[in-house]
Amino acid sequence: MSKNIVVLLLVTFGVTMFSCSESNSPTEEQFPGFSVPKNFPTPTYDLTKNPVTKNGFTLGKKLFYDGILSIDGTIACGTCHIPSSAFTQHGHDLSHGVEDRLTLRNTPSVQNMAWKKFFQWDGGVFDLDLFPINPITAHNEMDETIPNVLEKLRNHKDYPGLFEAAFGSNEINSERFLKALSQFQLMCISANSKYDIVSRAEGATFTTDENAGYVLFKAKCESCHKEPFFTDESFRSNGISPIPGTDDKGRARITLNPNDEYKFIVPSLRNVLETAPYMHDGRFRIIENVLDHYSNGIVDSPQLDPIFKNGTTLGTQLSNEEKRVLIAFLATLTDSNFLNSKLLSE
Amino acid sequence: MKLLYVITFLVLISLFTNACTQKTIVSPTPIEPDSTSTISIKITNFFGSEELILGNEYTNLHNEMLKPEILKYYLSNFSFQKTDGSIVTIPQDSSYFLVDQENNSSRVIVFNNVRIGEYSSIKFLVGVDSLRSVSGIESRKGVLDVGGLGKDMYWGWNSGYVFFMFEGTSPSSTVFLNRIRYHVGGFGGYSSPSMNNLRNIIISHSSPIKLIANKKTYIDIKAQISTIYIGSQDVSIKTYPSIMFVPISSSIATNYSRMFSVESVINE
Repeated sequence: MSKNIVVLLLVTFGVTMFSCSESNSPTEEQFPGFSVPKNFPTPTYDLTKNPVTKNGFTLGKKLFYDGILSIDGTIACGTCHIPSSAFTQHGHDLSHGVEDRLTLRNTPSVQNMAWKKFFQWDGGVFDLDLFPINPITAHNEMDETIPNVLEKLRNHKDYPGLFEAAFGSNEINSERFLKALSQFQLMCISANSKYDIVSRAEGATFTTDENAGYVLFKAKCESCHKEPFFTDESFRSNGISPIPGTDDKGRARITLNPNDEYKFIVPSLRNVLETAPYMHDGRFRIIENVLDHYSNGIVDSPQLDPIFKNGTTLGTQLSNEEKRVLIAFLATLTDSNFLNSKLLSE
Repeated sequence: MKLLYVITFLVLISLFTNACTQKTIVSPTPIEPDSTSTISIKITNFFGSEELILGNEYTNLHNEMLKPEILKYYLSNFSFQKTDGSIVTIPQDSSYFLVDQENNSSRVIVFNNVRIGEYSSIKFLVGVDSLRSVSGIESRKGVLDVGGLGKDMYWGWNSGYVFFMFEGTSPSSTVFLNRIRYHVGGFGGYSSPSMNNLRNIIISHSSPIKLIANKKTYIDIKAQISTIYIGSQDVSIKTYPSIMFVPISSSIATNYSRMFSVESVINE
C-alpha cells in the first residue's frame, strides 16, 4: 500500500515539474537550441519570455511551412521565404500571395531575427512575435484571419498534440501560435560564413581579393551596412527613383513624416549573393546592378541620404576592379551551412 | 489506510496548485468590505437625437444621410477623481474594454471594489495606451487578443490597434458601393514619432457621483457618434468617405473626444 503512495507521489511530482517547465523533453540534447555566436551581441528579442525548446521549434517549423495559415491553403511562410535563398524568394522581384496577388515589395530574408529591432522594409512591426499577423491577414499575402487560423489548427489532427508537447497543454491561442513561429525564426541564425570564421579567428583567412574587398567595404559601405549584421537598421533613401505607377512611400507610411518618404530599412548583406533580386522592389536582378547603382545610378531627391552627396557627384564611384573585389568580399558572407541546414529546411 | 490516502492526496494537491504560482502579495492596507462599492457604467451610442441602431438611417450635420453597419471602439485606463482631489485608478489589466454596437453586454462596464465616497469626474482613454500598444503578445488578452475579440481592431502592417471603427454606407460617398469607413488608430509611434490619436476623456455629472456602501452605482453615459463629423475640423462624407492611417484621422479623434456625457447616476 505504501508503495502505491510513493508511486503516486512520484507521478504527481513529475506532473508538477512538467507543468512548470516547457523544456523537459527527453530528446532535448539532440536539438542544438538557441545560442549566441561569439561574434554577435546580446539578442534584442527577450528569450526569457519565450525560451526556444525542441518541441516549440518543431511546432514553429511545421507552422512555417504549412499553407493552413492562408485562406485557401496555398501559401505558407515558406512559399516566399525559401531557406536555400536565405529565406527569400529567388528570382521574384515582388512576392505573390494567394490567387497570385502581387505585393508591393520584395521578400526580405529571415535570418538572425533575434537581433532585429524592426521588421518589414518600412519597419512597421517592432516585435518578432507580432510580425506574422501582417502576412497572414494582408489581402495580397495570405488573406486569412488569426481566429480562423487558430480554429483550423484546433481542428487539425496533429496540431493539438504539437501544442501540448510545446506548451504543456493542447490549448491553441494567439500567444502560443505566434511564439512557436518566433521559436522557429529565432533559430534561423546565419553565423558560419567565411567572414564569421575569419572574424572569430577560427582558422580561415581572406584571399588577397577578399581582403581588398573588405578594406574597400569598410571605407565605402560600412557606414550603413554595419558589422556583424551588415546593417545598422536605419531607414534611408539610397537614390532609387520611385517606379512610375507605384507609389510606395516606405517608412513614411508608418511615421507619416514627409522626410521619411521613399526611405526603406538598410537590409542585411549576409548571404547577399543568394538573395537576388535586390532592393525593396526587387528592381536589380544581379549584384553588379546594385554596385552600378551606387557608382553612377543615384537619383537626387529631398530625402536622398546625405551620405551619397559628395560635392557635385552623387554616390560612391567604383572602378571595375573595385567592384570585382567588393563582390569577392560579399561572397564571404555566404553561409552554406545556413542555406543547406536540414534543421531549418522543410 | 484510506485516511492516509486522503491526506496524501490533499498534501499533493496543495503542492501541485502552489508549485507554479508565487505567493500572493497581501496588500499592505487591506480594504474593509464595506468601504467599497460597485460601479456599473452603461454606454448608449446615439446619432443625433436618436439612439444609434445599426442598419437605421441618420443624417449628419452636413445634411448627409448615412447608414451605420459597424461601430466599435476601445475604452481603457479608467480612473475616478474624488471631490477631495484624490484619484482612484482601476488596475490596468482590468481596464480594457471594446464597446461593440453589435454586442449589448460590451456596452456595460463594471468595476468592483471601488472606494466609497464622492467623485467629481471619470477619466478614461479612447484607444489602447502606448505602453500596452508596444507590449508583448502575452499581455494582449481578452479584447486585446488579435486571435479573439480584438481580431478586426488591429493593423498588422503597422503594429497597433484600431481605436475607433465606424463603417456603413452613404449616398454621399463616392467610393465603391457608397461605403464609408473610418478607422482611427495610432499610439504615437514606437521609435520614431508618428500620429497620436489617443484621446483622454474627462467627464463629470451635474452633481458629484456618490459611491455608497452596499449599493451599486449605475452611471449612464451617452456617446454622441455624430460628433465625428464636426468640431476641430469638419469632416464631410463627400470629401472624406474613407479615412484610415492618414493625418485627417486626428481630426476625427479630436471631434469624437467630445462625444461622451454623463446622463444619469443612480444608487440602488
